[in-house]
Amino acid sequence: MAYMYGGQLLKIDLDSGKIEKEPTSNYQDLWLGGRGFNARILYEEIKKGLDPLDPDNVLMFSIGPFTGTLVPGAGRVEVAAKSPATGIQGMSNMGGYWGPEFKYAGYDSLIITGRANRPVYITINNDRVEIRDADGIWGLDTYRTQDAIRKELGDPDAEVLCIGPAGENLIAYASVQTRVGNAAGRTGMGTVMGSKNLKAIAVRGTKGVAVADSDRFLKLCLGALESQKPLLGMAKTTDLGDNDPPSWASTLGNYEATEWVEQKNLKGGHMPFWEKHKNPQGDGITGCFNCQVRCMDYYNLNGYGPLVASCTIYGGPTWLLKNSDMKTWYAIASKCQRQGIDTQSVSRMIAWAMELYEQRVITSNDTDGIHLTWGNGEAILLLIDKIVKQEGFGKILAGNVRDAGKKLGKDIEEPLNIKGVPLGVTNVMNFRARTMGALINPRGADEYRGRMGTFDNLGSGSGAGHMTGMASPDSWEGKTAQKIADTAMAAKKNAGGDALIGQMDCESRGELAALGQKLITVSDSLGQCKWNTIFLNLGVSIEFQAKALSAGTGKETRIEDLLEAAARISAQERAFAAREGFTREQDTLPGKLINSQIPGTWPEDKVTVEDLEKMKDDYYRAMGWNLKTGIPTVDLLQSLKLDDVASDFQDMGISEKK
Amino acid sequence: MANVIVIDTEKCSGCKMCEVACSLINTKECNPERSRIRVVTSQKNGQLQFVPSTCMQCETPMCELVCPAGAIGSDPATGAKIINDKKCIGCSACSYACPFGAIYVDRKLGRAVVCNQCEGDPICVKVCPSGALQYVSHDQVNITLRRLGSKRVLMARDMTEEITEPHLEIISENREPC
Repeated sequence: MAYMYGGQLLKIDLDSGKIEKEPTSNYQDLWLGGRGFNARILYEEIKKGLDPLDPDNVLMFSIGPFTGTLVPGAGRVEVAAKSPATGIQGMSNMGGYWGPEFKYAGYDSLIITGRANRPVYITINNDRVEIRDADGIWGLDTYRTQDAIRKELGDPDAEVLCIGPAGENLIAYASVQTRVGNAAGRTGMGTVMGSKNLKAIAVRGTKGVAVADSDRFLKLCLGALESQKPLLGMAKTTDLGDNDPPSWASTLGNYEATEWVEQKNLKGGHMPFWEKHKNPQGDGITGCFNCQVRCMDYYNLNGYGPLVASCTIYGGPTWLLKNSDMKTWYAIASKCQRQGIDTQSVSRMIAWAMELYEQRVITSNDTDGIHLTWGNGEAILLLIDKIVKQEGFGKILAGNVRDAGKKLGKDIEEPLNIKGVPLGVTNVMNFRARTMGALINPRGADEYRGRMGTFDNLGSGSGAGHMTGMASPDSWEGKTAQKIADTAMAAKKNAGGDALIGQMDCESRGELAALGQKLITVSDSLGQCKWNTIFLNLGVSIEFQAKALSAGTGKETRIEDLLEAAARISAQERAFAAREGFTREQDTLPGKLINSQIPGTWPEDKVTVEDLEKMKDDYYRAMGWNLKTGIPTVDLLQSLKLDDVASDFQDMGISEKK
Repeated sequence: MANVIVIDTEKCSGCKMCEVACSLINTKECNPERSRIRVVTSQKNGQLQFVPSTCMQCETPMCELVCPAGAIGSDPATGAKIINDKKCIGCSACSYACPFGAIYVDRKLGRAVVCNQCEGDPICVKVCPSGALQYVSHDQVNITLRRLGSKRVLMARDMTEEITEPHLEIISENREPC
């Protein structure tokens, strides 16, 4: 019996309509699940140089062994395809209820190839899989799409993933949405789905997940839930600070926002607004499957319809666009979710246009007569409509971030982006852990896949040299991180320098980022939400993950085994990028952010190119990748049982022994 | 006289943790389909509604009365229903009779199952993160329900005020027209 797994990979070819199933056991030992399955299968199935919008691109939805179980935060789905934004493997992780339902139907990965010749949607009901006509559904927003499919299937319990009009119209940063406000927003996964003429995937399953040692598994999960309870406030990020977007902006150290907050001296906002407009269901709070963090606010604003908001959706439409009106924020956020747009990307694109407009580099002649002044809510909403329709000035902002400047026909610096994905809402420059995370994030965009969250914040001033107050020092993660910092501090002292390492120093950053990247890969592959782990100081450590996986599968798994799988998955993702011609040169940040003084409340320092290169050296060394090229060495690939990748590298002439 | 799991539907955020924990402890697998408590979910245009549903410990248990095999009895300590596996024929008469559909035939086992209150310490109540479930002794049930009722009255008043609020335009003042 396939303990903890659905047991099958589901392959659907939209060209031929062929539906195939393959046992998961071919992949589970080496690749864990979720992100691991995606990395391996995309590498196997996609040919070098493929246009991401070509029918041959492979779109994957994978879940992990924890998905659908009692593990805290077990509702995640990892989405991947070759990204139209980056040209390498795109990846985005979403919560909600679709993943568990997919597991209960008996599957671990959905692998979609081809392009349907007319709009279709897929329905999965346990063993029955069908491709259906989506004629009456194409064009509907993401909330209505889900309703229409549930109605058509006559099944109110079907869980639906879908794209909105933005994905249908192939805007570069279209999202995949489920329920209200659960989105795989980054790297254009909704765009790839739209290019396949695939509107939605509905799933219903009743098979459940078998657990090998259910007593031990239950005990471990109850213990983990209990250990989270005193810490839950940490993850309800929308309640932090003074409960308003400007103060979160300042907490996140966003340099654009801190300037704006100072100018406007804004106070108050979110909490009174939420109190006034919260949805009665769930007391205005909601979350994902089997999660007690419940990090999302649930509103129902009269005349606007319901909206579920996690912390990141607050940032783009407020501080990036210098908008301080909560109703305008609501209208923008709601529009993005219904139309299926990544809020962070669209906010970054519009912020770029607004800055150019305010500097008079562009005028209303360029913007179809829209007055793009900072915070102009009406203009923002109008522009989003134009973006979704790929119309006029909207068409320029709807495309790839790297082409936006060129399309305006002027010598203009491109919108802030990392590896082709518009930069997120946090300031990645305000301490080195974030800088490093953003630098090496395999999907670009932000720092969330390249750092350890609470465990890489070395303190400042007299607290330097120790993990900050947010970290749990007794956890495996805390101790391991401290050991890395201690070793670096000893080396620094031996070299005659100041022994302490603070959060603005570069030493030990590379090694800590390598560890952080592996820990996140473990969570993304097991199917657990990072917000439920040590990443956000929420009790659940890799020690728990190893024990719960052992109890669940009946096969003992150690922490080292999980880290080895993560190293393999990272090497595999990197191999995909290397095959596309990616080297260490592409691990970089927007020129505007390097070597520049950052205004705001956080330490005013700068990161030089030399700093970045030194941290990258340390990171590649810790990952076992070649320093010159930034790609995994043959020695590493062979030790990770990736001999086929090693031999591909040899054929391509990019093979490095050490 | 029975203890009761009292449900505050408005607090429920639909996470299904009760279903996962219940199925794990009772069936050794994680499977909401086999959970003795279910969160009935409805979604319309972004409006989510969750109604947890389990055995309400009826004073006149219809399930017991209609059972053709005489398979249903009660635990003397908690009042929870007990189903005699040897007698149950899996006919679903109890499911049809139950006002809540809370007793049902587990198709894997081929016999009826219902909430057994985990021997006086229901795991659904223990894990519920939103406070939507309370385990209440028989003499506290009525006042608990009254408290929930009065809360609904107050909330309805709040909502009436909300509806009378004028619809505000999203456009802020001092803006150039587009």
